[in-house]
Amino acid sequence: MAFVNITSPHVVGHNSVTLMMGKVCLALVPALVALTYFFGWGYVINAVLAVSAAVFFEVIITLLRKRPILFAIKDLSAVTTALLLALAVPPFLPWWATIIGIFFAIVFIKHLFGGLGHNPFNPAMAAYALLLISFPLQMTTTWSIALTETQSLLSFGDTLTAIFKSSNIDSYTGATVLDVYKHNVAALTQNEITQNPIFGSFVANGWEWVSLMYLLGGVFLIWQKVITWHTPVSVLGGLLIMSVLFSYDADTSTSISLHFLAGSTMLGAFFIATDPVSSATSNLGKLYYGVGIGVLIYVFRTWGPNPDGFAFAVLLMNFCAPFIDHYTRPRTYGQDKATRGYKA
Amino acid sequence: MSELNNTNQQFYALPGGVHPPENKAQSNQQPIQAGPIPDELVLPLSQHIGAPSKVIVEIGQKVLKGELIARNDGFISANIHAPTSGTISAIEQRPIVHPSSMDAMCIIIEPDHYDTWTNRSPILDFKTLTNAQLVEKIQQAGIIGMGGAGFPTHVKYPTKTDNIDTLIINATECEPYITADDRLMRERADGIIKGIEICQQILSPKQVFIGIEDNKPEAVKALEAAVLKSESNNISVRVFPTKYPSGGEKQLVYILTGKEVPKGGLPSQVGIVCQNIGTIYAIYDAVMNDNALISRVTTVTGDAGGELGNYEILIGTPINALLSHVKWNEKSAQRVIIGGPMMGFTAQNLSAPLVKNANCLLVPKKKELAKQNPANPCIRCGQCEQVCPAGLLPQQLHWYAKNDDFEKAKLANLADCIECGACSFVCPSQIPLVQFYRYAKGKIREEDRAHAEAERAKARFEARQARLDIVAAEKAEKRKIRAEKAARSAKAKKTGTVPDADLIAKARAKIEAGKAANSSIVAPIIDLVSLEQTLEKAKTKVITTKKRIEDSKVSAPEMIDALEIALGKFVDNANKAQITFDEAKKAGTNTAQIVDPKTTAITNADNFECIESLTAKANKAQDKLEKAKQRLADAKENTPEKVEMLTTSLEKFSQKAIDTQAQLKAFTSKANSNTKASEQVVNQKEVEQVDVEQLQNAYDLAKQKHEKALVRLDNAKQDKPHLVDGLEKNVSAFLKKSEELKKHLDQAVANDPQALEKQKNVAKQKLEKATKKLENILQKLEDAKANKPDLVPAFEKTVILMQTQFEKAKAAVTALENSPITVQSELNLSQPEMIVEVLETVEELQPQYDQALQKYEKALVRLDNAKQDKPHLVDGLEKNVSAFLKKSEDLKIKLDQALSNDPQAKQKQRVILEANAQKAQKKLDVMLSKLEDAKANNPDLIPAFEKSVKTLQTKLDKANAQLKEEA
Ligand code: SF4
Ligand code: SF4
Repeated sequence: MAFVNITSPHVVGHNSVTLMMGKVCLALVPALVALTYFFGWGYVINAVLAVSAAVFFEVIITLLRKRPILFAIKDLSAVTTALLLALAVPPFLPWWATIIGIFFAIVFIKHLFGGLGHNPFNPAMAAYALLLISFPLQMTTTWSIALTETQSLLSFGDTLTAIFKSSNIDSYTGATVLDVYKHNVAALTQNEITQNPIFGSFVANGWEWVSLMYLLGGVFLIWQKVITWHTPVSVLGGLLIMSVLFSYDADTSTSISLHFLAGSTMLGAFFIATDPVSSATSNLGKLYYGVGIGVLIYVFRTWGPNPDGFAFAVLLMNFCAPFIDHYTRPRTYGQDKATRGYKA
Repeated sequence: MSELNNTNQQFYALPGGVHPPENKAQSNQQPIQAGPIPDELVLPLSQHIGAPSKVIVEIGQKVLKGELIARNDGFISANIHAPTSGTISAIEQRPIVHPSSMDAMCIIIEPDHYDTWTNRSPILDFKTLTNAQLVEKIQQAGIIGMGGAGFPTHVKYPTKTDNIDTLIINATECEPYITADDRLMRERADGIIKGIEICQQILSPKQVFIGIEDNKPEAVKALEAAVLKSESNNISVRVFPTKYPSGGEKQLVYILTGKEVPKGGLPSQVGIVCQNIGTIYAIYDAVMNDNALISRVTTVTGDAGGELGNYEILIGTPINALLSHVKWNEKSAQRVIIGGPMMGFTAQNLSAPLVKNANCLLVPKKKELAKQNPANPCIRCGQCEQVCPAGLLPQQLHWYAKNDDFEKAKLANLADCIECGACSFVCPSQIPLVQFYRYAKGKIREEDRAHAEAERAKARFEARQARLDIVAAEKAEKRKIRAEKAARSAKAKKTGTVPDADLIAKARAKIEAGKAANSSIVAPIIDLVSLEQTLEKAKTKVITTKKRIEDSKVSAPEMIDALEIALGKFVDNANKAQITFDEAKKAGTNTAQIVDPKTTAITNADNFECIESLTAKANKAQDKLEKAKQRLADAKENTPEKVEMLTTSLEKFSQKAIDTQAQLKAFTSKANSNTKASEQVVNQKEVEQVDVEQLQNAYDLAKQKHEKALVRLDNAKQDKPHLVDGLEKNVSAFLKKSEELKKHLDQAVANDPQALEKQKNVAKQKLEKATKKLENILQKLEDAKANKPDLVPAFEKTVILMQTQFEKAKAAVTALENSPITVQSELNLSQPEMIVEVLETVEELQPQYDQALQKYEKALVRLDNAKQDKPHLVDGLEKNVSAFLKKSEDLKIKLDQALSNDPQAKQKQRVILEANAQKAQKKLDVMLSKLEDAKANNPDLIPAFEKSVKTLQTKLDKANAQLKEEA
């Protein structure tokens, strides 16, 4: 009888890209729920919109590249990218901006660089950065004001109109907490700033819960071995070091707690910096990579023009990843010293 | 009874690793059963790493169980025994178990089903045996590593093992499905411990660890019980958590000792010997029961495997024989895997035999093992890195391998990948990573080999170049020295210190030279034989090592590095041997050539001709032999059916070569004794009939030597005062010799009526030679002027030298033609009183006088020079001058006498003088034209020419003055 010649190993684990991406998406669910609870339907609508667009573009581009379509869709990588972008942009962002972002992420960043696994940059963050540069107004003023006793949320239908028709919903939108704090900290003290209802009673009305949900999802991923602890811990560590050094006085600069619990810190640390394709690979490399992002986040937030610099921090470190990889090779069994750098 | 060694739980955690489903329960429940005696047993000659074994049986021969049928070929090789009694039915190419499904030479046994044992001599106490005897037994039994690679076990047990402190017994069996070792431990723990004790005696390690995973509690229990009974008290069973691949040798070393085997090295470098538990049992069986390795326990498992369990199969059992024995479910089987699911490979041909290291036959059903999905691209998730036990970055290796970027792959330590498959196991993209690594490793090996080959070729070329350069330099040096010597000897001659020489000594020296050369022709030829052998051996080693590397590529990737290093060494050796051989050969031929002309003159020329032709014959025979060997090797690879024929002819050739060499030896020794005999003949001084010609030559040589010695002495006086004494002795010795020779020469001349004639002949010959040489060199000079202006000065110097020589020779001839006595005067300037009254004519006297005068003048010049910078020479030179003066005065007197006696004398003198003047004029003209030339083309030669012109001018003036005077 003729046998197929299959080489070892003959058993493989039950791991797959689909499974990994699926787990990432699953880990995002608690945060999506929290976002919806505090900031309304905008996130859900954006998510659906982004995912549909992403799948659409993925199909088109795989058709054009003459690749098996189902195979490409099945890996859920496009879905993951779309979800991440949808959670990172403001909830009332006009629909066309979301579509443009997804188009850019899927077609340009992912497929034009060779498809899954070949993109040097994180597609979601590249798209985010593009939107922020191209449409700064839309990207900074369409944040939803969190639910409080005095502040109600926009209904589902109204949210739809807001997103698709750009109707005026001024009373429901505003800037992020980080933005507000940053712009007021020069004149006001911490107490005075936090009088603003958007800060709520705890840290940043609603945001702290969202951040905690991201954290929860991240821990799930570490437990599931989808990611290792190295990147998130070092991102947070880098940010901590910088904020302790420079933000110990909350009256003169954004407070440490805001750095961690507001904005996209947790999303970035657990879901974006850990994007395998564009990050450093060895454990040591991930540490350098993460610390770099942590430090840069602080730098961009504090001294840059934008309230949140996560996207830029990640993109910048993406640049460095190959370089980091070469200098952080692990020590191989039997070696006295790891072979590092470009020469033996 | 030893103290209880508690099961030690201490271990170092394996980095990385995975937990594939174990699937051990299917096969580890039943005791080990006997395997079938199949209809035929197929025993590949290469079941191990190393040289294939050599067949020592014939087709049709009856063999008994346990009888040796193939012998190890070299140290890294293994014996093969008949696994049961029967008949050798064939020795041929058969498919073997090999990832690339290849055929190989196998011995086929047709069992007689009586299973009759050969004679065995079991022992009761191994302690009565020495270490060497124990290792010998292991080697005899053909034991190889039964856990994987199949490295011959005795190689791990050198008789001198002072640096081994830990013996590690690998009882891990970390691959899923396999339970052969598990069952072996449960059932035969006592034998295993005995085996360990044997190894302990050989290695005397400080500690013995039995490394075992915690998924085999029964085996652990059985081992512990056996350890309790053991007399040895440093065996400990170390249990550690189950994790794949903790059974990898390197990994186990780390888990148990925390040490790492150095990159590319062996465990013994960190004082560790690692041994598989199955091998240990085989050692026990071999040493105690005198059972060769003819069977092994193999697991049959997998859902389509039929009666699953462990079977003690005969080595050489074809896969399908075992499978039908266990009633496998052929239809539902998806494939047959030899080995475990993580590192085993798919069997391509089920008629291939199971060999010494086949520990498992895995026959999964279609759905049992996950089918390989089309791979996604690598998403750089890093999961592979987390599980790699070798500390590699599998995904980078994959990237490099995929892009054929082998340099980078090497940099990322691809070579350290143990191909465990853990990375593939976890890869979410389900990339067959190991396949990429194997591919890249193969490519790198190929490249390295090509590179090494190129390097070696380069080294060879450079070595050759260096050799040639040295030879050239030596030649140039010799030429220079010769030129200097010639110059000095010319000088020395003119200084008048030309000594006499001893004919016999000279002859003896000649003979001695001949003898030395003669005996040295024998030595190299004898050498050649042994060198040839060394070379052959080295070559074979290289070939076998290459083969081994090929083999281990598949079966023992971790050996490849070590083997490759070995290969490098072997190749070096072979090259060295080749070079030495070539050189020896060349030297041999050279000697023969050198010897020939030297000795023929004195001794039996025939012998040497014989030697030469014999050497040529021997060389030819060797050539043929080599070619035959080459053909045989080729045939072995391509046309096995021709091997036998070629072997016979090879034998013939080698016989011939040996014969020729023997003849040659005989002849050379004969020639040698002949030489001796003729030496004796010459030694008899009273032999009068010594040839004048020979004597003349000998005398000339002795003179030359004396001159050389003088020159050396002069030099030494200046810068090596400590050598002066010795050199002075030399000089006097040479002087004595040449004096003696001179005496003999004189005698001979006196005795031999034709002596003078002969002397004349010699002189004439010399003249001819000198003329030829001069012509030659002039020709060359012309050439050089045309093509190589930078060589012109050198040639010009030579020309001058040659001219002097030529003139001297001419003078000698003239002198001899005129009178035997004159030549004496020419040869013995220090004894001018020997000139007696002869009837000299004016014609003869005039040139003589002129010459003497010239010499006198030259001597004066030299004296002046010496006064300035070589004061120690002044005395001698002064004597010279006075001698010359005297001579010329004498001649003058004679000339005057002759003139007065001869009525026509004046006339004659005038003619001569006129001729002289004309000659001088001519010379001057030539020189002037040359000067013109030089002015146009070679400005740097102008001064030299100008000087010549001046001297010539003076001569001309003188000649004219004389002429006038006479007039
Ligand atoms: S596990 Fe597979 S997909 Fe992940 S980094 Fe390694 S090779 Fe790439
Ligand atoms: S196969 Fe090689 S690279 Fe993969 S885990 Fe094993 S040692 Fe590491």
